[in-house]
Amino acid sequence: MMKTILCLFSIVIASASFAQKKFAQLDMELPTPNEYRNAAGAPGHAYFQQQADYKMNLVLDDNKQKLSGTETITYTNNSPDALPYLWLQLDQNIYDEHSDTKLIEVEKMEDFKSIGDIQKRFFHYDGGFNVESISSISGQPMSYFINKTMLRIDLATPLAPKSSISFTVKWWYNINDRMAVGGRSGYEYFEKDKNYLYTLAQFFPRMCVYSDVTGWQNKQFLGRGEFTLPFGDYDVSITVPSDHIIAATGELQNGAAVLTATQRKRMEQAKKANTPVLIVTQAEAEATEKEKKSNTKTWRFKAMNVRDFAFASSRKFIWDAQNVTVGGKNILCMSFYPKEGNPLWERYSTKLVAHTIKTYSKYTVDYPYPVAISVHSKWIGMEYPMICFNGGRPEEDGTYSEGEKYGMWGVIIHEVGHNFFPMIINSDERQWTWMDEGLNTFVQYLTEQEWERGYPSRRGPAHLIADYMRGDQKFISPIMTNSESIFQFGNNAYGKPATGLNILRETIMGRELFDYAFKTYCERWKFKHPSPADFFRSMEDASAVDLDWFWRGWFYGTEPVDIAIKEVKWFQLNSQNPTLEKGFLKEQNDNKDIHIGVTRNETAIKETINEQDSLIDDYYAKRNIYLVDALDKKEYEEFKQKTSEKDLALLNAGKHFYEVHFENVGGLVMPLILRFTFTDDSTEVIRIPVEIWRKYEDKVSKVFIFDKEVKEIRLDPFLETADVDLNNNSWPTEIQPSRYQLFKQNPPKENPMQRQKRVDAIKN
Amino acid sequence: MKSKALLLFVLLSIFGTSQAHEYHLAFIELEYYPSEQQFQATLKVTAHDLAYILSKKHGKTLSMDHILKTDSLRTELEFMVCSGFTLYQNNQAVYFKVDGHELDINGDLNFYLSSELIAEPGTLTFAFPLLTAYFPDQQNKLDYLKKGRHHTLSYLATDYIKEIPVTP
Repeated sequence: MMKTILCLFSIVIASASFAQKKFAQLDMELPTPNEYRNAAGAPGHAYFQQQADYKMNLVLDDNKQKLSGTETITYTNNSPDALPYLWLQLDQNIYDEHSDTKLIEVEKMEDFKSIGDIQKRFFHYDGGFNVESISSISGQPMSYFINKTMLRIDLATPLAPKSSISFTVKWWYNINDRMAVGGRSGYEYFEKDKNYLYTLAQFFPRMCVYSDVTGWQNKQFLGRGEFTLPFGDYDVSITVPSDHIIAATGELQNGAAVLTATQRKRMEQAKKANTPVLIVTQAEAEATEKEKKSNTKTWRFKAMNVRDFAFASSRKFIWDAQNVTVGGKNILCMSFYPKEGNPLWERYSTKLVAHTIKTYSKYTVDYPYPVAISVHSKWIGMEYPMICFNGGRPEEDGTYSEGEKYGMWGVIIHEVGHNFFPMIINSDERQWTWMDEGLNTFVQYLTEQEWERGYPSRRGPAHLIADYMRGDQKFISPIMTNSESIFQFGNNAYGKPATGLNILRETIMGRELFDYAFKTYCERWKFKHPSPADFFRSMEDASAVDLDWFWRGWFYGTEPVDIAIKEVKWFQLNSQNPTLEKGFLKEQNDNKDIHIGVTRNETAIKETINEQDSLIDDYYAKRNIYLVDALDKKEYEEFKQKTSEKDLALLNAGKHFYEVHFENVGGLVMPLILRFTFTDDSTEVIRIPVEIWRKYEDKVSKVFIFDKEVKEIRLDPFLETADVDLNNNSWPTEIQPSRYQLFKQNPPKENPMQRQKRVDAIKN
Repeated sequence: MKSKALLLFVLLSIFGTSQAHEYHLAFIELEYYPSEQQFQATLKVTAHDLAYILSKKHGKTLSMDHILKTDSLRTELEFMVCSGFTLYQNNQAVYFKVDGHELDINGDLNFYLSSELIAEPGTLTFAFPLLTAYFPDQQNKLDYLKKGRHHTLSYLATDYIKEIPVTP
């Protein structure tokens, strides 16, 4: 490394780029603020939302796997508009034999290379809704029309603002075998004991949302973009075989009628316990599995201010519960699981529910509901108010892998976390998956890290999204893409938004500012319907950080972060002191590399002509350019006379100047986080805000001044920015070893359990 | 012209529509080492996706740990993974063998692969349809490394073979 003597006190460095696209405000992208949603990102003074209250009577036929229901909906129009018709969602019609969901799957012959594939194509299951009648509260039939997964009720007279209408819908459908057909809802059949476990949701015609943003949100349900639902109160009676245990949204109203005295006593203990108490033990559940009673019982649940209702029913359920306190309020955390879920479920599920409720409440809003439930449901993870269905099943011998354990922990935290997004902060899932999945995955990460130090979270840390963001941009969707049109759903709608929020929290805003702004958004929009603009605006409004560049790049764009250190120049100030400066030049000359010819000629040429003839060398040949002469000294004395002591001290301080050039290779701008390592192995970290790119988006440079000589510079040393190429992040260049190279250096020979077996063998 | 499809009698799964937490992204890092005259690669797949497919196929829940320690299942897994990509040099398929695998605690399964000996590779084409037959939205990425620089190509079910625009 060579340093250059710097003769100027200041230098001006500029790049050729003058575009300012990346920092342009989002005025064109965001909707104009109005009386319903204001420019601060809060509900406006005329904000409204509709209310849908349900009273339902349900009958579960365990012999035919059929669910029938009669529901009375009271719909209140709080909008300023008269509504000539109402829209309801028939999500179960996705299983109608003529469903669009099957028709819109892209196929090719390669998809039919197995019998299973062909069977799948011919698999017949008619699981759509059978709507038997819709009638007014007085019993008069109402006119309706079904358009695939949407049902329109045509009103005799428009529903005026600030008025309500009640009507009754009678329906039934065949419950899907979740193991064969798939689905968020359905049943699992246990061949060994010939019992069913039902996890039922989207099982009743549900009101669509009518809002200032979408009007009626009646986009068809195609299977991916989930649900958009208004808040309301539910009163639900469910008739099931008398030996079934039911878990449901809301609070049980008739415990005395459906629970045994022992179960009620245990429940009272659980309400005061801070660790799980069994309400139904495994031994009791196993005994019930064998009996199979044929008479029925009716369980009644009430839930206030929820956007949906779901339940699970089985005679296989083990049931445990404990209390957790949030904001001075007791919340009953519960788990329902078959013996096949043990030993994982009895050990962890309810504790995870309690931890999740407590942690999310800290970062978002206090959990407002009386219960929070986790139900074991093989393979899936799916969320509803107060209740969720979660996978995580040990092997038949009761053992489980570490991955299975973390998978179960992660899915329970995630699904319980959905109580907050979107069940309480009720975004439009049909349109924007990221608004619930992304925000939820972010808080899931925080919750996992508070569950276990160093928890191996799959999503959240910036560097984990780099593989997804790298490469051909045409196969990457912006986060701001409709739920049905997203490439790479998991990474796009879960991973990337969660990572973005983590980058905001850790790097761009800092934890204090971020947490305050995030909580502000949550408080503003709890029990309301936020849109993306409300989130973007709230985060800026509550923090005084202009984040338009970040929303534009991370949420509206697909460019990755790839910032490179292109060049580093090292300078030192010229002190003007001839003794020092000429000494420095002499040292440089003495240490410079010498051409091999010169070295060989030292001996090969015994005597040159000027060595033989003393008259050849003139003044230039004889002078010593490193000698400090009288004139040098005089000029330095004159320089000192003209220069202040402060300036002289600076000149003689031995400062090192590093001009570092950065190139924005990937396109997405980020703050520059730099770690300088000095020759004495000490380090210094400097963080430069993203606004350094505000005028010059492609290339920028910065001068860093130190007392010590730098031996290494590392960009993004803490893996904060999701930089997709770390090979151009260091000076001198340091190539990161490939994954295969790392494997070759230390190939794994056995898993930890295999090693433990060898340890045990030695002990024995 | 009518083509006859070769039907492999493998019982495959019937998937639903609601796997809300899928990953469906595989990633292979590939590099040619002149000193060893071979390509070396690391293929990273989500263990959950692979275990899900094998579980469905065998009609019972199979954890990745169990699959990896059961010879027949591990062989089946390796066959599935290795048949999910092909490197062609000068239109000839290059043979890869599995040198090892590693299951990360966060659920990634890494396969370490090395190719047969190739003295001077020519034009390279890479096909990467891994798992696209099982997951329609599967997306795979090749990260071809040369002199420390990344060259990334993306693959979809409908777009699964591409020439690598860099000579080895």
